[in-house]
Amino acid sequence: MKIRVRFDSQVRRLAACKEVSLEVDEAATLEQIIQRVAFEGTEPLRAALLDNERRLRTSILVFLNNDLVTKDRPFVLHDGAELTLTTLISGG
Amino acid sequence: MLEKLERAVYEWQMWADGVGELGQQKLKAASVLISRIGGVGGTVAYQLAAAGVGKLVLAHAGNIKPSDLNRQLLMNHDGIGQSRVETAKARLLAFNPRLRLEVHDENVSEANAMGLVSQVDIVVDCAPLFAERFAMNRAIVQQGKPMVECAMYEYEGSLTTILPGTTACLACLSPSAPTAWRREFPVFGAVAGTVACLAAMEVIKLITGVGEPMAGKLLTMDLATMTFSHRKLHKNPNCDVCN
Repeated sequence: MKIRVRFDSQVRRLAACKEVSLEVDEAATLEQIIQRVAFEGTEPLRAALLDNERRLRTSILVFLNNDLVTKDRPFVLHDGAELTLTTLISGG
Repeated sequence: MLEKLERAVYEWQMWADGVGELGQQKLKAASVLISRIGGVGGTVAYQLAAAGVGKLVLAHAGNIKPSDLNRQLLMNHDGIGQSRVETAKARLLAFNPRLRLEVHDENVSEANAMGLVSQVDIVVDCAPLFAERFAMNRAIVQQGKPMVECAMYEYEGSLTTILPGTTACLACLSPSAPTAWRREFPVFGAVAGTVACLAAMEVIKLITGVGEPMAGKLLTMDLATMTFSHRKLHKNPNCDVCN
């Protein structure tokens, strides 16, 4: 199935694009998708998304159809799903 | 009780649905801490002073620089080199002499956050550094006080209202600062002001009980494209701060 991965805020600048479309398996995990996005993207994007052990950094917010993804809630993808990767901003 | 002059000043907003004299009395009785009074926080302070919030506590270290003057509306050209909080104090009191105002020529830190938060009913977080935001977050969670969390970058803004015990706290969303964040950021005053007015409205809603605050939701906006999104937030059951 096809999903859309959007980059917002600081992540968009590092990705140097607004979004990518991915063909993924229904059983794809969030970790698998993030790894793929990170390694198919720019070096700055990879550094922003993954720590030294290639785990998703805790400062990255992931939304599935505008609903925050958390570890204690099921991650279920559907065809046409929109995943957004972003961070908090702090300008005042 | 409102005085005769206060009734005259606030008459038009007391006509707003759900406000009335009781709502205005609530605003008068309320106290709000604003962390930093730059492009966002300064406009929050101005709007809350305009709305008749009784007491503001402002925290922001340092003196006015030329580069502040594209957005920090409480400052002025003649004040370059002078204290930000003292300049802001003069501007706010000229606008609303009834305002009770306490200013601190220091930024929020782990050392002073608990004391500053203890003086007020509501907090508005407008700091440019995540360390300040995290210090404030810990203090409001510990004291169970609501915090309007607002920020901007370039053409973007974000806003959420944290209700300790009910909604996700700041550390639930991001336990550490994003690696790419830098202290100096591109900013137009109009973007900072847009976010600030929305934040001030959140405070007014929390005080008066009007409408629905952005609790458990994140408003994001991109003013370059005028795209606004509501995103649903959730508490992190493993959060070190609020669990």
